[in-house]
Amino acid sequence: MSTYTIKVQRFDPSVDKEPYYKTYTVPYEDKDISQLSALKALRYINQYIESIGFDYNCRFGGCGRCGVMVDGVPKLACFAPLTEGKEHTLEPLKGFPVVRDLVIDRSKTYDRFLNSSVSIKTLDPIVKPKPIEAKLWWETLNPLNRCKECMSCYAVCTALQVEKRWESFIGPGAMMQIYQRAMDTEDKADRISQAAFSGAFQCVQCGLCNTVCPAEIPIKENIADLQQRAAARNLKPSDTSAPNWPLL
Amino acid sequence: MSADEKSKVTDSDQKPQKGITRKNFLRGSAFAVLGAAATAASGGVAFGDTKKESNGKTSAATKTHNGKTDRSYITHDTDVLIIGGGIAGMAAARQAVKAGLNVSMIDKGPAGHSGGSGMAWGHTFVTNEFYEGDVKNSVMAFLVDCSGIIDQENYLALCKATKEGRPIAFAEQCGTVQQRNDKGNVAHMDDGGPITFVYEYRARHEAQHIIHSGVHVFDNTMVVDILRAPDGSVAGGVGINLYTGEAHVFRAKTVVMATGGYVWNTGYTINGPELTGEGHAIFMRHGLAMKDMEFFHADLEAFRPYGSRMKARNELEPAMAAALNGESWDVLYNKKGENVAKGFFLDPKLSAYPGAAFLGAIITSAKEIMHGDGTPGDGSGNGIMMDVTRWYTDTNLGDTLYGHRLREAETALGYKHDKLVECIPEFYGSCAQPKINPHTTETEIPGLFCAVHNLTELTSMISFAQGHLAGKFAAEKAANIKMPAVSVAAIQDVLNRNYGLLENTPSNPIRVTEVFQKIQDTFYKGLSLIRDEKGMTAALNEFLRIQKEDLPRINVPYKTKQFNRDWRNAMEVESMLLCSIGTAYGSLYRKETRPFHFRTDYPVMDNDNWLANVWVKMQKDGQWTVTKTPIVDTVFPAEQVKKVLLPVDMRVPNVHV
Repeated sequence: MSTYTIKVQRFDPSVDKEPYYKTYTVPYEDKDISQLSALKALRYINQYIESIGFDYNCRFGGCGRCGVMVDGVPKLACFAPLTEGKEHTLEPLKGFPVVRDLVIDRSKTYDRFLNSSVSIKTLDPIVKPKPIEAKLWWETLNPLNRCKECMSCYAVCTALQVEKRWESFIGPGAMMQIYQRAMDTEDKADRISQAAFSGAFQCVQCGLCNTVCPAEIPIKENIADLQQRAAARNLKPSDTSAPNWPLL
Repeated sequence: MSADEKSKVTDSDQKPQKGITRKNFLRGSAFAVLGAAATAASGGVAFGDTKKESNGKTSAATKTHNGKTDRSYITHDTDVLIIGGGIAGMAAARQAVKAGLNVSMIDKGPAGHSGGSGMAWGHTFVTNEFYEGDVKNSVMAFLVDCSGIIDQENYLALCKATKEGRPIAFAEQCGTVQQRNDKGNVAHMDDGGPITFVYEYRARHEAQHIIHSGVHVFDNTMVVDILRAPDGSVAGGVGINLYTGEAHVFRAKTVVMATGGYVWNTGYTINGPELTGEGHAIFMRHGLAMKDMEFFHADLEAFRPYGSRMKARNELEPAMAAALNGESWDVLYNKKGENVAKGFFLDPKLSAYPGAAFLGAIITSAKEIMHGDGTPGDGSGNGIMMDVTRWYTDTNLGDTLYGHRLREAETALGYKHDKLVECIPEFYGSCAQPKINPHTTETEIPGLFCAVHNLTELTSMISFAQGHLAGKFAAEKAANIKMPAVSVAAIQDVLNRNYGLLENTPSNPIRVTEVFQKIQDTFYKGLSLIRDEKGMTAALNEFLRIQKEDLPRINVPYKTKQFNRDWRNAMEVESMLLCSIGTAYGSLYRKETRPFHFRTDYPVMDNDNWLANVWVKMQKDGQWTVTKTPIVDTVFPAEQVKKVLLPVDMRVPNVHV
């Protein structure tokens, strides 16, 4: 039997003045054949120690609901292995309002996904899906499909979290929806223009998003591609550190 | 209708409520409705005003001066209320919006991410929209898949609805780009079969579209009951926001129930924890008989390495969610190392119907387990073993979802599977339906339409089609009727029941999580894939004991309304229990084997006696009745059905190819 130490940020905004931390010890029997994930640990705490606020659905890296900060790094709790003998810290995703403990209100960034208008703009309705070059689907469109809307990229985005460009940059996740349509051979809208006016040049190309994306989407490179294509059409602002207009 | 008539709230409930007069109810609720916005804004006490109780725990901020949780609620007026935001609910919403009506949708989880749609984040979708032959052939595909007992009249309507609604083309329009084959076409689109698999469907794009299109989505909101008008028709529903604990009352002309299923009860499921059966329990509490509760769709999944169980229950091993799949069913082995499902797709009789071939793999696995060549889930390495290694190398292996998951998990968790993995049967869908009009899905409660999980394991298409029909006809009806009156007493009764679960301080308390786990354990022990009378009876007795002894003891120790998992579980647990009891009664009643109801004591499929639907009903006095009716065979006569079904005889050990 192995034991793991997990420090969890607790906060009930209806009664607590400030968030506080509580440390739990979680036993685990199967260390030799598996790994204790942060989600398994949270489920253990909730089941056997005390009720705790955390969210999940699929338990296999699909639904994107269990995103938390594990030792300061955003991860899907189900995809976050813990180490015996180390004190791990679980906190809610950075930069979001806390509903309770590890549960966040993600509407401020989900609204950006909605505003990116991901549906395919076609002049006639799609009655039967059109062919897509196999290479394009496998290498580009499918990885973009696999975004889980887990909001990890928003929690590390330098342009948003450090530079505070919330007013002018739609953010990495929503920008990937624009990119998916920009790469889509059926979409008839001007997505390069949309990318430029959604703040593609506000991205500072730090690449942190790439390191935390559980779907392994090359977000940095995709935004760089949008920047290049926008620049080629004279859609690059003269001062990229200043927000372009209209916003978002 | 005038504004005055529309906003009229009447107390039609003739029953006096315990301890509270009707006059008080009316006064209190009128205040609540009018003061809803203000109450919501000032709901909690000011920061720093908390009190420490003697046990060291912080007391809840949500109690009013009389010790009761705030009973105010927010009222919404809508034409169509859709309960559930998955594939069925979204299809329903789309039809109702297209009709130009006001549509509200409540979803227990975050929009696009809840219930079965969690699984649908990379889903094998079934459709007949590309099939140009006789639509009856699609009905036949489902008939074989469902062992003959579908409502054929309803499935004919559902197959037509799918062609009309075109789920795959619509998903593509919403922004999902589904898996392409080497020629660039959507996988299997050109195969020409009566139903085809399409891979990598995503619910999230469609959810974004539904919100964009003007459907008022109330997510993280759990349905706790429907409302009825004085004439018995539906008049709306009540939901509780799980983030804040606020109650939302929806007055609606029609309601679509699209809550999925109750597979979370089963203890082992790929599906999500939202699926605890609120919709089904509401049907039952409102007097509707439920059909075919004994059936669940099953698959083989690895929940931990080697299938060993975890005490916290139901922890799906992320690296090994390698479900069976169309092109790869020869990855299953028994403990002797024999391939148990090889050759299924070489058999023209099976390969004609994808569902039948899947069924064949499940039947053969069940036989292995029954005959001792596979002992599922005990961690001994004796279960049905799956070779998942092929997912790493063969990216063209059918649905790419599982390969992606394995590779993503390899990156995230740092381990790779290089050998066979033990799998256990898991349930991914329940099948129970109330009696409906097969063309409109309207239940015996006028205005209440049904789009909960149906009998097929090819759930995606049928869920879509049910939602499509339910939304279309719910809208048609709503456009032609007045807003029904709602009973304020009934609203208060619902709120008292659910907030009461939070306030309860029983003398001999039991934490709800314990009861939850007891139900799941009991279910998996007595009602899993392989069943017998003794085990099912023991399960039923335990469910009835839990209902009688444990439910009144349920305690929610921490009293906040703010994302309180225990309170949510307390609201769910009665639904789970009613669904479990119904399942036990239905399963005991059906004295034969018919997939996915495998009995060691009645091991043969008996079409002479059991080509029938079993109806379970909870009576008003809490007693249960079970009856059966012959199948609805308006498309293919029963005699013809008997000839096309796969014979199932569990006494015969599997013949290994």
